[in-house]
Amino acid sequence: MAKSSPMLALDKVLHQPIRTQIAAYLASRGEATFTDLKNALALTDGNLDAHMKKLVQTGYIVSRKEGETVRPQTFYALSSEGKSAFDSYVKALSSILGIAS
Amino acid sequence: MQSQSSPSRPIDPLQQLEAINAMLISGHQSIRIEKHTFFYWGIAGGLLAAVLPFIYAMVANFWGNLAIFVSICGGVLGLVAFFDNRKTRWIRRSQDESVSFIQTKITHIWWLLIAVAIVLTIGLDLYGGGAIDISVWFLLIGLALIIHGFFSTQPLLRFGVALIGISMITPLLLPYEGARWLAVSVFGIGMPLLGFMLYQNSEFCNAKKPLALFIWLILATLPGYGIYKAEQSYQLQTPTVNPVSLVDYQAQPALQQGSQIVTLPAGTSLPLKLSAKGDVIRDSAFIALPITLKSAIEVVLENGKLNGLYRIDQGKWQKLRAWKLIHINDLFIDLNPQSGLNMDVQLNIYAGKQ
Repeated sequence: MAKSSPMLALDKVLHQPIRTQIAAYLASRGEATFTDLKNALALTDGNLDAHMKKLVQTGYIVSRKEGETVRPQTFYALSSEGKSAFDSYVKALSSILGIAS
Repeated sequence: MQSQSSPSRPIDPLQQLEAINAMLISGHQSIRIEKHTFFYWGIAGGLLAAVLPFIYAMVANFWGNLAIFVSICGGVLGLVAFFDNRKTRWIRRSQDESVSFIQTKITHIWWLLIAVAIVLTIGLDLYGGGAIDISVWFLLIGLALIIHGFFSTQPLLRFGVALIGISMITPLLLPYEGARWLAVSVFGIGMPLLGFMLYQNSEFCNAKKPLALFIWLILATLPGYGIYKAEQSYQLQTPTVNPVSLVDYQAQPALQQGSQIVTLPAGTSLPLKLSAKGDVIRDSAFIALPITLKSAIEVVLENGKLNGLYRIDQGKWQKLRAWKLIHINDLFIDLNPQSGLNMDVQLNIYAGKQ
């Protein structure tokens, strides 16, 4: 029987450098706006938007709006599903590298 | 700018882990103090420091000055805190940025430190520095617990607030000796107990918050208070000899052997020897300030020397320790053609009358 590579078992959505960084940033900061993320990751609007859409579609990131009347702001945060996926991903990476997490 | 990596290119797990660590740190450090904050707090602090002495001079009494300090300092700094926070949020919103969790908590700590500075100033004005040093320890440890509570162990918030409460009540209710025993109890028993409650009984701590806090307060403070009271009621061994008056004591040669009790009745005039020195005055020789006792004091001599035992108005015998309260209540300078330059200093001396 062929042995499957541990790399193949990694979460496909999170195993992408920019999405990993978005998840890590939100995991430590809690909530952030689109501009916060854009500044922290030094990305273009289009690039960040594409990755955010992917993470929102997967259900790893949730958003909420604040200030309905005057210039509403959108805040993004990891969902509980996103948090546990991120934790599992870090554990899987650590185990591939032989680091106790 | 980073770009989307090609799906065909393999991703190095080590680089991924390093990128995760970098972003975790970046998320934790997402704090930025805005320019206006320096202006608001700086200008308010400078104005208060400049204006308060003039307002004090207009009132020129201790309690009036204290009330002015609390109302003006508290009011002005409270308003600064409000407007600073509002403007910071407005700036972030206008740039589509947010105020991070950690920045919110650090702002709370900033406010807390300002409140602590106000409380400390009041305490120092009321009691003097030496008298509230134990309260300052309670206050700062309470603050440290609150800071921990902000970031991790939330129940610590309540215990930190309780400790700050203890720090404020202690000088009002207990003399220094009592405060010292309270510190022994709160630190020696209360802190380990807190660790036990948080780690061994965290469910109880979270489910029955007021009860857990009440139990902790009782167990942390009562032993110290009990020891203090027991010490108060403990009858010190005193010599079984008849007291002699100060006049009789002075009339006969001092006993070189054995014990003696000397009574100083109320109305006795005593010389309080004082000397002064400072940056603009020369060291003065001791001068005797005649003071009059309003309570009778008995003191014990052992082999011709005071052994530190005394009692006031036939009360309990006490042991004189190094510390008794002397508080400079007021210092007033006046120059007028009739009497020239006058400097009035009012000392409050407390010997521990119970």
